[in-house]
Amino acid sequence: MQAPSNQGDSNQTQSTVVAQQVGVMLSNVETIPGKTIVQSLGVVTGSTVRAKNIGKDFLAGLKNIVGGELTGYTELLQESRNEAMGRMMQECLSRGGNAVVNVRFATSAVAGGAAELFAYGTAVVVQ
Amino acid sequence: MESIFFILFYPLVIFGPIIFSWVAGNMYQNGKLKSAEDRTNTFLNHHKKDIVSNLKNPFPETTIQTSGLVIANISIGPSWWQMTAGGIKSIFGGKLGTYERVMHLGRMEVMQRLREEAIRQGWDEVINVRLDTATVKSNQNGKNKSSAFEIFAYGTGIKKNQ
Repeated sequence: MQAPSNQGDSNQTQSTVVAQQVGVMLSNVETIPGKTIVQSLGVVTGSTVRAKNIGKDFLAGLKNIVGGELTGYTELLQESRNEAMGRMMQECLSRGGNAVVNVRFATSAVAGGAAELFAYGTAVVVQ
Repeated sequence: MESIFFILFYPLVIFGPIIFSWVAGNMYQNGKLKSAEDRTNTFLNHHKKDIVSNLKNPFPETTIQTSGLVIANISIGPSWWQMTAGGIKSIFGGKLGTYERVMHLGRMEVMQRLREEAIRQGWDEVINVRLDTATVKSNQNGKNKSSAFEIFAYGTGIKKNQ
């Protein structure tokens, strides 16, 4: 696989970095474009529940005066989603797969101030 | 003397924050919306077409070299003024213009982030884009003076065979 450039060290590129470190390819279509699936290994999932800390909560509350983007939450959700994806990739590796296809994400508020981020897909072996 | 104080300053104490939120919030959000629209237009003019689509395959069918997941998100909240105005309007029902504006700003921004992220990772196009909206924190009966929702976009970045 030709490595796409990931020079930026912002949160936005972290998922790609994790995926490349673990060595699992991801896609949200039924195939890995450009590869052939030889074996399907079933559904793999990864989830994480995160709560905001009081400081971030307070700052976000202040930001609500003018509205707009709440950067603290954006970063927190990004980090948590990367962790959920990481766990999904770990499960895929432990089953002996090297790619996850048809990845889907779900978010739900499980308790006041906490959110569950959930990623799932089908682990496959591709060539 | 004291009655004058109350007449002049009591309304200011009560309505001051909401008026400040109205004026500052409108200025801030209009600036952000304009910036998102400008970036989108510049991007589309530069690339001659939109690189994101929610089709399963790239439209002029081509052979694909490599692919990978691209994700972008934003969490965004309405201002106090927008929450209050939306709350009052929701008694009568109908269109909640203030909330519409916040959602529009969020969608514009997240789509543009997805395009920029795809270009930064070196993909030519993004296919099968999905958009997701989730409530992170809600304004329950006015008790909680803040509210936030997350807009999340993901798709498969592809690199075409030249």
